[in-house]
Formats: sequence, structure tokens, C-alpha cells
Amino acid sequence: MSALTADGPLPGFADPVDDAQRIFRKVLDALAHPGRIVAIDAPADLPPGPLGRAALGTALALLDFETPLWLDEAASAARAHLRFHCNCPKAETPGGASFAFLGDPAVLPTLDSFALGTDAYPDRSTTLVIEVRALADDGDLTLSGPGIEDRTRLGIEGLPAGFWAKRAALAPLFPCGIDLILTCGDRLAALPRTTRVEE
Amino acid sequence: MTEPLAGYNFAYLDEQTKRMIRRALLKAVAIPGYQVPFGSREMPLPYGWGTGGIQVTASIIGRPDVLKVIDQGADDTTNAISIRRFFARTAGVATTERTRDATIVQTRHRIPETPLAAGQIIVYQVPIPEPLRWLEPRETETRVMHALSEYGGMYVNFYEDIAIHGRIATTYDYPVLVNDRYMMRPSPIPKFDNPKMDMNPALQLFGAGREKRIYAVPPYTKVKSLDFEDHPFTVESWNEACAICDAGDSFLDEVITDDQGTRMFVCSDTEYCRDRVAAKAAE
Amino acid sequence: MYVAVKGGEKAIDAAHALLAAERRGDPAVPELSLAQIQQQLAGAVDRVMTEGSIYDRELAALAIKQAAGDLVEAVFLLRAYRTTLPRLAASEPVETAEGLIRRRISATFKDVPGGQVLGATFDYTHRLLDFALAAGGAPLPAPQQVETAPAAMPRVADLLGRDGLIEPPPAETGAPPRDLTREPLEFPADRAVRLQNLARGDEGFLLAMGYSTQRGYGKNHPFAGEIRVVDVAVEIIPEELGFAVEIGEIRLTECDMVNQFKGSATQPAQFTRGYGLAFGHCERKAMAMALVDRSLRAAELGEEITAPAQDAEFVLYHSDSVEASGFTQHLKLPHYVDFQSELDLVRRLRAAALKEAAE
Repeated sequence: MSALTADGPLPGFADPVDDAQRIFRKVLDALAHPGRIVAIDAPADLPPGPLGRAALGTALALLDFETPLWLDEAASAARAHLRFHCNCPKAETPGGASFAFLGDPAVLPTLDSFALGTDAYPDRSTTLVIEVRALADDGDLTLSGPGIEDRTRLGIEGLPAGFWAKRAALAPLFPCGIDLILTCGDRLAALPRTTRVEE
Repeated sequence: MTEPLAGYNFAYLDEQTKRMIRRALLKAVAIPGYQVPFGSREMPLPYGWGTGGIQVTASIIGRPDVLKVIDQGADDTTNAISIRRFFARTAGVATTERTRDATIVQTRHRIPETPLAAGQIIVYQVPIPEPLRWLEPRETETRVMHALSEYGGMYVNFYEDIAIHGRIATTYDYPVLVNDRYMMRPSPIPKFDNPKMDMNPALQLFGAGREKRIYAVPPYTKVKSLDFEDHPFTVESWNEACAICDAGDSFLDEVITDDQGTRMFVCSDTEYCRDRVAAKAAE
Repeated sequence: MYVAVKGGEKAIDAAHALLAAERRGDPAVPELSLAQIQQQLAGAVDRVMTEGSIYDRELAALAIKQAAGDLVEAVFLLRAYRTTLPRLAASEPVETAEGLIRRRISATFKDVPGGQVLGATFDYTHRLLDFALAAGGAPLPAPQQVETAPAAMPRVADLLGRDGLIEPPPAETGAPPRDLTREPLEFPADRAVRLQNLARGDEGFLLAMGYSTQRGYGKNHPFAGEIRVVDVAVEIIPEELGFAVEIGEIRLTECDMVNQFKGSATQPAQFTRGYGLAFGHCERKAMAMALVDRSLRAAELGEEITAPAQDAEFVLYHSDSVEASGFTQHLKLPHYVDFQSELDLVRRLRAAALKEAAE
């Protein structure tokens, strides 16, 4: 089944200006308050594949011809839809990606195969959007760092074993690092590279 | 609420420019205090007059937002009026002079005396984003210094002040260290306002249009003003209180009232002053 | 009792009204039309198009009228308008070797194939104020026959290049250049980015920088290989068609400077190049740009960097009149809070010094 139906591609945002702004503010809110779960209410139509509304909304809001996009095999079903709406170029490797959307975290590439930025330009790093099985505002993870008053908790299901240890291994490379957006259907949480995660 | 100007996109900027700035803002929040280069556009207001702050606000603002704009702490200084009008014309958003009612506060050279709350965003207009610029004019050099956390020169500079003047001679745009990593210029706010930045519940965004840099301090982030153990950071103080509202805890402007040089001191933050007067009248 | 002055909104409105009145001047005097500005102030129009980065004579004329003749202000108006324009396509590179020649001169040879075509130029006028112009209504000059281009008018630089006497032009990489109007300047800046910056840069600033190289601040030993004013076709290749379509014609001024030769044990000596390009007829700008372009290649050509015009950060960060004007004039904005902080400090320092002197 293709996103390009017989009648044409599925629509993107019903209101491109307002929807993009509203979703961006949610993502900004989530990134500025790591561990906070926000609800994403657009787009109405979703292409095939595992990526939910929160992931799709983030993509439509932020991607364009300047952001090479890497998709894992599971998420590739959305490629045509995103190419049509965002005109984003395809990243040939994870390291060349401005954004990477992952529909099957079980087969996550190693984190350092993505762009981590450089000491002079740490902003030139890949933003990972990972569709997970469950996202809860309580759980095994204790978060601290910028954006969090003291500590907060988060529950995530679906990430491979050892994921947090591998993420923590990147911490000494700061300011280089990976910024994460975790999505589950309509819900989204974000963990910038500055957030400390304890299991 | 006025209707936005016909023929222009909401909040003036085209959607592609907004996306570019939004992506820069997300990276800025992920790396507190680091200056993210961005493709600043020419705006209808001149470079140097707040185009960075305006581009940041234009990229984040939505129809439900309520905007406050201040300059030197006052809502009705000419440039604050000009910028507020710009957003009223191009976005049709509601505007306010009350900090508590604002979802976004755009400011030049002051942080409001009224404490900000979680969920609010303050956007600072920045002329020179680079804290090391007076030590080193070259961007190629300062970028390496930030990469290597090579900030010793700034401390030496301050130490020289102490040797010559007996005190650190910087009184505004006083450099800070953010999240124990990046040295940052807070914009030309008086050092009096620096403590407000530390662990603030609001999100602080900084836009430098002419220099084409965006940076951010997330909520609840450590912001420490540079100092020495034997010369700790201090803020300005006055012998007088505000002549209008009697505040002893706000930043005071000096006003010369006659040609004999008679002077009086009044709150720079006109909203704060007005609120205090109103509260007193209500008693 | 002091009452804080309010009424900033009313003051601004009154200022706008006064500005509009001053811009119009005496209502008894006929209003300037855009057509008059386009036709009779072409020098201003060309400069504003070049620095405003839009080729549109009517828009430039409007900007000049709205700015009451302040050309830096007019450039700002055009740039701000440009921000709102959608990007429709990228044209093919224009071919200045083809097109209708309006003027073409070379200082490096007495005669060149195609000849020295003086065209319309101030060069050999005597700068004597012409009071006949003041009266107006002078009989129109006899219509001049514009010479159509002869069969061949090759570039002087290409002629020198045929014998290997001048370095070849930069190799085509196929990669699109960084667009300075969309991305911030980054260092090291490659030549394509530098040339964009210089093309948009303030003519006065570039003139001073170029002039400095002629007076010993850096050394270029320039010769004007060629200056040509030419009307060229602008073409795009729409994806659906797959072939080039002409969408319009623009006038360009191009300057090829032939500069200090360079050679080594392994590489025989060759002249080096400097390049300048401007919209319309802007020779001073194109020439100054070529001098500065060559000067900024100092690092690439292994020359010692001693002069401001060789310093890429210095030149490229300060060439833009919109940035420079904005920041210089921003000093007019209220700074009384920062000044208060400084005043407080100076008072304390003076008090401390006087106290010490008294002891």
C-alpha cells in the first residue's frame, strides 16, 4: 500500500501555518522540559508504517529541502509521503542525516553512527525521532539536568537493552551528542543531550 | 485583536524561514549557552534594532499567544512600541503590558522585575552575542575558544580591572557561565538582572539578527556570573528608593528634572512601579 | 511631582506624518514619478539594485522615492522586500561573453578583437557644472546609433589564457554555491561566497578597500584587463521541459582585473585574476570589487597577509551597508539603563580615587 493513493498523496497539515507553529511549540516545550509528555493533534491522515501522529507531525513541522532525512526500514513506508510534503532529501547514511526517524527501535543503529556534531559546531548533529511501544509519565527512568527543577520520572517501553548505557557513554563528548524525540502514537517526549538518565 | 496585514504571511516570515529558525532554536535549547548560527533575514526594522529578537518571536508566536514588548524596562519606549505594532500588524496577536498575562515577553536590556513563571518564554534582543569579542575580534578564533572551553582570557581581563580600578569594571552585558560549560553574553541587561537568569522557571531565548546567532537557556538551568573568590559578583545599589512607588528592590533610572542638575530616581520597570502604586492605593 | 512621560505611540505617528511631508517637499513642485527616477537617475537605480540584490528597476525607483534619495535607506527597503519574495527557480549562469555590448574597454592592449567600444561614459567629460541642465528643456541629444556587437568580442582574459599567460578561471565543481541570503557567513569563506558578499557590499566601503590596495596596503599591481557593460539573457531550465527558456534580460557590468603574476620553481609565471560584477552600469563598484576580490585571495596565492583589504573577516563582516547602518544608527535607541550602570560605576571609582587622594 502506497501513500500515493489513486486519488493522489495523503494530505499533510490541514492548516500548514497554524499546525506547524502549534506542533513546534509542543516540541520546544518537550525539549525545554525533558520528561514532559505532550500531545500532538495533527496531521489528520497518517501514511502507512509504524510512525504515529506525533512523529509525523514533527516531521511535517520541521523538515524541508535543507534537512537530509534518514529512515529505518520500518519507517521507510512514509518516505514518499514525506518527500512529497517536505521535499526533504534522502540521507545516504545515518551520519549524513539532519533528522532520523526510526519505526523499529529493536534494530537501532549504534548512536555514534549518527552525526554528533563537532566541538566547533555541536549543533550539526542528527535529531533522532524514535517511535516506542509505550510512553508514561512515571516509570523506571529518573531524569535530571537543564529544564528539570530537581528530578522527574519517565517510563519508556520498546528501546533495546543497554540503550541508556550507550547514550550515557556519549556524555563525555559534550557538547557533541544526540538529541532524542520519543514518540508513541499521539504522544511525544524529548531528551536533549544534556539530560542525565538513571535507570 | 487587529486583523493581520493582507499579503504577508502570519508573523511576516515565510514558513521556510520559520522552520530554519525553529530548528536552530531546538538545537540551542539542547546546548545551553552555545551560539547557533542561523540564516538571519533582512526585516522591515533595521539590523541592530531587534531583528534577532523579532525573528525568534515571529518563529515561535501563534494566534493564542499574548505578547509583551519592553525596552529599557518600559512598554512605551519608542522601539518597544514599534515592535509591538509590528506583531499586531503582521500576526494580529493580543498584546499586553502585564508580565503575568504574557505568554511571550520580548525585551531589550532588562528582565522584568515581576518574576517569570513556568510556561512563559522571554526573548532577548542581542547586539553582540560573542562574550569573547572584545578580547578577540575574529570569529574563527572565538569559535575555537568555545570549542575548547578556553575562557581564561576573560578572567585575566577582569583581573586587570581589579588591579587598575579595585573592582570588575563591567556593569552590563556581564558574562555568565551556563550549565557549567558555555560562556554567554546575556545581552546588555544591567548586572543587577543577572541573578534572575539562574534557575529561572521560564524558557530564555536569545536572538542576534545582525550577527546571525541564536542561543538559549532552558528553564531551571545554572547561570553563574563570572567572578573570583576574593571578588565575588555584586549588583548595583542605590541610596534612594523609587521616587514614585518607594521600591527599594528594583533597578532605578536617574531622571534629571531641571537645569540645576536636580535628579530623582524612578523604577526602570514601569509596570512594576505602576503595580506598586496601585497596590498602595488599594490599601 | 515627576510624572513619567508617556505618549510614545502618538510621537511615532506624528514623526511618520512629518517624514511623509518632508519627503514630498513643497506640494507646488511636481511629484517625482518612478518613470523619471528610472530614466533620469539610472546611476542611483543601478546601485540600489546591485546592493539590494534584486534586478527590478521599478522597485529600485520606488525604494529611492520612498527613501527621499537616501540610497543606503533605499537598499534596506529593497532587501527587506526581498525577504518576502518566494524563490521560484535558480537560473543558469549568465554568459557575459554573449549578449548586446553597451561598452567594452581594455587597458591592457591598445586594440583588441572587437575594438574598444566607449559606450556611454562619464570618463572623458569635463566635470564642469552644466547650467543649461539647470534650466531644463534642453533640446534632446541626437539619437545615437547603438553599435550592435560585431562578430567576435572575446574576453581579454580568455585571450591571455589561450597562451597560458593568466591563471585559468576556477574549475567548475558542479556543486551549487552557498547562498549568502539564506545561510550565515562562515569562515573560511570560499571565493563564491566572498564574491556574493562583495557584490552586495557597500560601494563606498569597497572603493576605500580597493583604493588602499593601490596605495600599498597589500599589493595587487592591477591592470584593467576588461570592463564590459552587457545586456545578457537570463535562462532557466524547467524540470518539465528539460531545455533552457529565456525569462528576461538584465544589464551587467563586469570587470576582469589582471593582477600580479605568480610563479614558482614548478609552476611557470602567470598573471592572476580579480573579478567584479554588478547590476546595471556600475563600473566603480565592479572595479573596486575586482581589486578586493584579488586582495582576499592572498591566502590562496601564498601571499603574506599584512593589510586590511586582505583580511577576509574584516572585509566580509563590514561590507554590508544594511548591517553597518543598522548597528551604527542603533546608538540612537535608548541606552539609559546601561548608561545608568556605567554612571554608577564611574561615580564610585571617582569617589574612591578622591578619597584616596585626600588621605
